Amino acid sequence: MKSKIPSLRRERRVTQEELADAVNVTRQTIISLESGRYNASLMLAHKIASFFGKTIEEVFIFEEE
Amino acid sequence: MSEKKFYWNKMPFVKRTKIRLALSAVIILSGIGMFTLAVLLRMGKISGFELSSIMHSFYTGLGGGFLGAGTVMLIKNLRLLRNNEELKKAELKETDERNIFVAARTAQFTFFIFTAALFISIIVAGLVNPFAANVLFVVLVAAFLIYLLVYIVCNNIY
Repeated sequence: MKSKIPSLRRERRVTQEELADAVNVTRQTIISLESGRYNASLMLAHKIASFFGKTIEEVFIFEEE
Repeated sequence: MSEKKFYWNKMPFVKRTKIRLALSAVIILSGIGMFTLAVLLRMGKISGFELSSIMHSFYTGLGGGFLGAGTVMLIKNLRLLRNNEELKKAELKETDERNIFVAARTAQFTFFIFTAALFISIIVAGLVNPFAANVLFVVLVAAFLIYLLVYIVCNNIY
């Protein structure tokens, strides 16, 4: 699953650490989400989308595997 | 979200740390107990029991291991309870969903590798030591029975 987290972070000048703190995960989780190596749970996807004031579909790009 | 969680996962992290602290004391005491018992049995202080040299080494080693592990656990949890910053970091590390996922995947692969290795060992042991092969076969069956039991429990929970 791809995500628009890096561009949204850059746009809002938010560091990986700040985003991680806001959604209660480690920075490593944000790194893995950004690189597409780990897929967020529905709960985390919702938290991240809410943090950026967007919907889940606007932040995460679902691809059929 | 109405995801079912075990009581342990819902418990505040401070309480979890305190329980671990108590558990570390139990582990230390078990270690001391095992070590003392092994020494007493070896010295023949308890009548009616005899401990072979191999089993003496095993029990004293196990006792020492429990003592060491319990002490490390005790120091770690005491430090966490005295430092709020460290406590928060430890909680984040433990509740991070990626870390939980990695741990679950690790357990999954470990079970697969363990059972595959056990199966190969049974085949090899059957050629040289049928008794060992029998024991390993019982362990393999027990592992699958436990898997089945846990699967049924999890299937009812989720």
